[in-house]
Amino acid sequence: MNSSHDAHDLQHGDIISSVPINSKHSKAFYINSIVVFFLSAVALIAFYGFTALDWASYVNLETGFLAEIANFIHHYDKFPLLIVLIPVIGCIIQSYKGSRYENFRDCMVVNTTFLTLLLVLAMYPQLSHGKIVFRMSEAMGFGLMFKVDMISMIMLVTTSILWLAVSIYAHDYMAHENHRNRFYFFLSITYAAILGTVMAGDIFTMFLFFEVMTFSSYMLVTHCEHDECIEAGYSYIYMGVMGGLSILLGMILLYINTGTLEFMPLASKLQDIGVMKYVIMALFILGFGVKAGMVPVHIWLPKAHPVAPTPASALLSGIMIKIGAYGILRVTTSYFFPAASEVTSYKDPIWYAAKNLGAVIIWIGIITMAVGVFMALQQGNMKKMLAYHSVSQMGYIIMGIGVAVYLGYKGAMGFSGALYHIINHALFKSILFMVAGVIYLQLHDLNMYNLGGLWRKLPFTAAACLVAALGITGMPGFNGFASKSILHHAIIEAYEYGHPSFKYAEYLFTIISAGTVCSFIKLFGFTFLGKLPEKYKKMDFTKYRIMDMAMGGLAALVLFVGLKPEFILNKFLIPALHNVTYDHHFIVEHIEHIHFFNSHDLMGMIPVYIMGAVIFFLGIKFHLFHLHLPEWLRVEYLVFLPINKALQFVTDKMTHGHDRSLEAGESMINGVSTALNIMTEEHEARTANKDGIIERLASTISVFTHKYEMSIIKSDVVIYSIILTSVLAILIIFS
Amino acid sequence: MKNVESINEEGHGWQKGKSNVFSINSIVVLILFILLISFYALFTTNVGQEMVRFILSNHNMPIFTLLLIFCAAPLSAYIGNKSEDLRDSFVVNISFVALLMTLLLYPQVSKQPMILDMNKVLSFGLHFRIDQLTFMLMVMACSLWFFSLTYAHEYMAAEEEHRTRFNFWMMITFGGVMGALMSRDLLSLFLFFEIMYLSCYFLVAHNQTEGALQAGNRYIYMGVVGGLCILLSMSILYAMTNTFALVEINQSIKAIWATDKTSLVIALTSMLIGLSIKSAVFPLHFWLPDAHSNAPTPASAILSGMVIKVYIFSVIKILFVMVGLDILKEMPLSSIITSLAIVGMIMGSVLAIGQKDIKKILAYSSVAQVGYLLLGIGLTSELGLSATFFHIVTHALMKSILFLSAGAIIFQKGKRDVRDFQGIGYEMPITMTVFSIGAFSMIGIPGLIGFMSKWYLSLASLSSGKQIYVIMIMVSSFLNAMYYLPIIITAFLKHSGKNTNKLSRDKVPNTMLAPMVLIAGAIILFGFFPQWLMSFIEKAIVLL
Repeated sequence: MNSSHDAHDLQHGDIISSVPINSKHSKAFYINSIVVFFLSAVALIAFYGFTALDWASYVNLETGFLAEIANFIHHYDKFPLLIVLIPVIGCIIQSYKGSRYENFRDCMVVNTTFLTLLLVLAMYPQLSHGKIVFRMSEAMGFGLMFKVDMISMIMLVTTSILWLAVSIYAHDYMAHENHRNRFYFFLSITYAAILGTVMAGDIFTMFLFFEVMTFSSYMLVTHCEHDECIEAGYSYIYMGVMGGLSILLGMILLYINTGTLEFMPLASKLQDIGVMKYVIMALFILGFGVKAGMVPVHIWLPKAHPVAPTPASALLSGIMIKIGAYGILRVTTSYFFPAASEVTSYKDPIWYAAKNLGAVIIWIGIITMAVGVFMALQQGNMKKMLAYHSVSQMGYIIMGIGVAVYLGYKGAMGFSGALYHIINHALFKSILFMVAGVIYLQLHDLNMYNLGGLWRKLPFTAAACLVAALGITGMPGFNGFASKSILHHAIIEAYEYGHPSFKYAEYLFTIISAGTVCSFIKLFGFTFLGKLPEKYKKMDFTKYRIMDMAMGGLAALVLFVGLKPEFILNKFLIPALHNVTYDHHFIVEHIEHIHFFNSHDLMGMIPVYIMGAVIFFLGIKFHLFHLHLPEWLRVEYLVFLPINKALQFVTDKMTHGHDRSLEAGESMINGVSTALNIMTEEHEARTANKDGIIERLASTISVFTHKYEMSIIKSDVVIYSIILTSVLAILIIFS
Repeated sequence: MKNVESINEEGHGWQKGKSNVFSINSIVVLILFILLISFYALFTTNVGQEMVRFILSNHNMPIFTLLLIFCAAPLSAYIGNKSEDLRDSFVVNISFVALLMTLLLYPQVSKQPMILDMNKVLSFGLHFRIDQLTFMLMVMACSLWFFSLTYAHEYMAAEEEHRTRFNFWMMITFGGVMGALMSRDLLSLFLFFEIMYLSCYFLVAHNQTEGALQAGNRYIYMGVVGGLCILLSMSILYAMTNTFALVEINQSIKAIWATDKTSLVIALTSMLIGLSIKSAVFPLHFWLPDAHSNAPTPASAILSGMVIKVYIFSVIKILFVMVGLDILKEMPLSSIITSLAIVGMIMGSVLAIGQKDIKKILAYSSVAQVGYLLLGIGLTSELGLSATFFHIVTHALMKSILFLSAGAIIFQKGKRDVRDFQGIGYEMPITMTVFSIGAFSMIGIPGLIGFMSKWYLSLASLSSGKQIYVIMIMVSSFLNAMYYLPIIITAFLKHSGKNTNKLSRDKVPNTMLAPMVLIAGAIILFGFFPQWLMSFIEKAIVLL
């Protein structure tokens, strides 16, 4: 365990001692969340019953009260507004009452989330045969527009379920942190922003909510206020702002070229504008890719996720980064696809642009997968490893999106694989983060090499972790298997219908899956198996039952999806596919009759697991997990060091030049005080040699201002006159 | 007995609290009653209709407004000798009355531009013209003055000496700004410019510290140089056209352009140089950061918020009314202006990154924002001009709350260095929230007005076929983020050493908080409904 982590722990210890746990007074919250938990379980089971098992035939929906509800659900079109407003209203009430009634506030968070979940589920009947469109044409000049279709619905349901589990989980965890009021305030704002982002009907609305999400989630990342957090927060917010601006730029270019911002097939309009369409798309992909943790703009992710409080990192990894992927998916499959009436087959020239773009996205996805897994294998800190796995799993999703775009008319497999993996990753990754949170709460140590044998003490947590680990590695019977085998089919199709070079992509896919297996053997083995260290033997591990409930709920969903993979496929993904310009025959032929548990796919997982185990044993034997990459391979180093050095050079030059000029005896007005200023400035610059890039830039500029601007100011009007006459001369010459 | 007494006391306290509410309520009801009666009396007789007609069609209302402001200045000095509070309320009331009188112009202005000539004054005469854009800027100026004078009451009481002098020069500057906005000939323009910069000098140098005096010197030298440039150009133009009125110069300028190009170019160049010194266009900006940051905060707010905009508005008048689009397109002016604008946008922000003093950061940011305004002008299209006008309003709102909230921080904590702002977000939550709204608007977060003005500007530059400008706007936004975000992060997230961050209400008087909160509300409101402003501008821009 390194020293910085020690310091982190010590600081944390201080905070814990200052904030006593009030579990005695939390009874109201526990009862409330147990009730909500079971109600939402009932709601989900009922939802399953009505959609998959045809329960509607047992209920009389023709007359009476139920009929009115059904009628309302089928015709009400203001759902999107309600769904966004409920968390916002909730957060205002929370922050008003919260500082005095902690339990009330936490119940409020759970209940508003539950209410949102119910409203989201209530939209399903309308979406199964159409879209919900809601416009507010007055707002923001262009008008805001919500358009909910099945793709948004998938994101909405995933988000709401996850948010409910995390807000139940958060109560006990956050009892150890300060500023709980602020945390819950921004948690709700982030929730509203995410819901708004996925329901947006045009990129303008999406951008609005996306930016709100960036800034409100920043407050979640830096919640602990340690130096480490602030540091991670800087890279998060600056990259977020940069991404936002690149989306904005893309949006403006798109509007100028096509005259619309709505999500609709625009391929025929974009066809004529040459390279510009790739620029627009590159800007969008860069902007959303920053949030999605796409290589090479992923560097904020492994920094930000470990330092955030666990509920926040579960949500960051679970949902927030998926919003980036959702953005890429939405933008590419709407703007780059032609309308259904314009297509005859997948060989049409109109698909040409999509094909080029898709190939690039596939390779970006593969690289992201590889980098993520490789880095994850090197980590000892549990949360950091999970964060790198998020990068890697996002690679799977981005690859799926790539196939969806690359194959154009036949890309349905990639599309459904990407969406399916978004759902699954949200479920298992948030369980894994919650497990890490429970361990941290009990032991205040996240380094898995220091742990071991915890399954005796935390059997339930161990079981949840095992379920999630089997899910993420793709064990049949758990949810990861379904999406990974669809993605595998997709990449195979990519080389069958497309370029043969994707054969290598498929090999990489298998190897990376093996790497995932290996690192989760490592995680589970080091943490839960083996010998329990002496110092933990006498600790009490029976607190925090309510957190187990949240994890258990999600683990049950992992199992449910794993055992009934065709439910989500038939009820969500296939209706979603019909919103995109895909070949209906292809969907019917290849996707509707997909058989998940076939011998080929099942056998395919065996070499993956064997290879994973082999890598694990080799790694242990040859100490491969403690490899540290040379410093110069880090992305920050490659990009920022030259700039940093150059700025340092400029600063040195400028300050030295000034010194010499002083020695030569050139006197200036207030020369001495300027020199003093600059000397202290220089001193600062030298002592802080390891400054970040921003500080370096700031100090360089202030030296520049001192050197040039001040001396201009401090001389007199003569200089003004010189400048004036020269400008005058230039103007005369030009005219 | 004791028990009863204590109950009595409690009861009394309770009644006291209640009676306060009760008396306010009675006063409100009484006023409403009187208003109702007087409305009834007015509208049942002819007097009311006559009065309304007089108010709504009085042609000389703007001149009355100007006279009111200029007369109020010495009066306020006179009252200030008697009572400070009376003077401050007098000044605030005057600015409010000016706002009302300006608003009453709307029925006339909306029909057609008002033209007011006073031929006998100053031998050449004063000539005013009020179209809808002028009207908008005048309303903007009046409300900014109203807000910053309200704010100034408590701020100046605690911070500075010589408050009577401050108020006097604030009013004179107010008059100068209103006059310069309305002017339609070069001479009146020049007159009000000189009034403005002289009175602004006293605002800049108000603190009388060494820094303030130095900044003041720089300001006045630059002002003189700029003024002389404008005078030179005016005399050349007068010699050629024999008139000062912008419209009349426009009529004869085509003939001059055909015959005597050189002198026209010299005249225009020196006019533009003069104006760009005064409006702090990038390479000529060095007087601004010191001047704006050394002035007392209410003055900085109006200097950055309104005064430099007056010069920008005059540039627009001169280029588009006096010179006209045809000649403008034959000169390379458009490319010079846009390149200056781009350099200014980037360099202003870059220079702001190096600063540590909060007011200086804001002042450098103004330099960058002038770049945005110029960019819209340099595009020489209707879209570009509307974007500029939108940004004038936007920047006036944003920069004034940024300055006012920075002033509140200086007022309560006495800190100007942004690195010492740890934990201020918890000690002054309202102030810092307002500051954050302003800063986010500067960065261009959607939902706030700054985003919309960037959006319009980008659309305008793209429709002129200049994609590189849009990229520059984005770069400049990112640079904005680089110096505004650390301030907010330090204030809200870093610990101030001794005390853990505990939330408490600002210890700033309400009269200072109210203007800030109101302007912040306007930023959010117009951020969501920019078309209220934009449709007005788009209609008005045709009449320029």
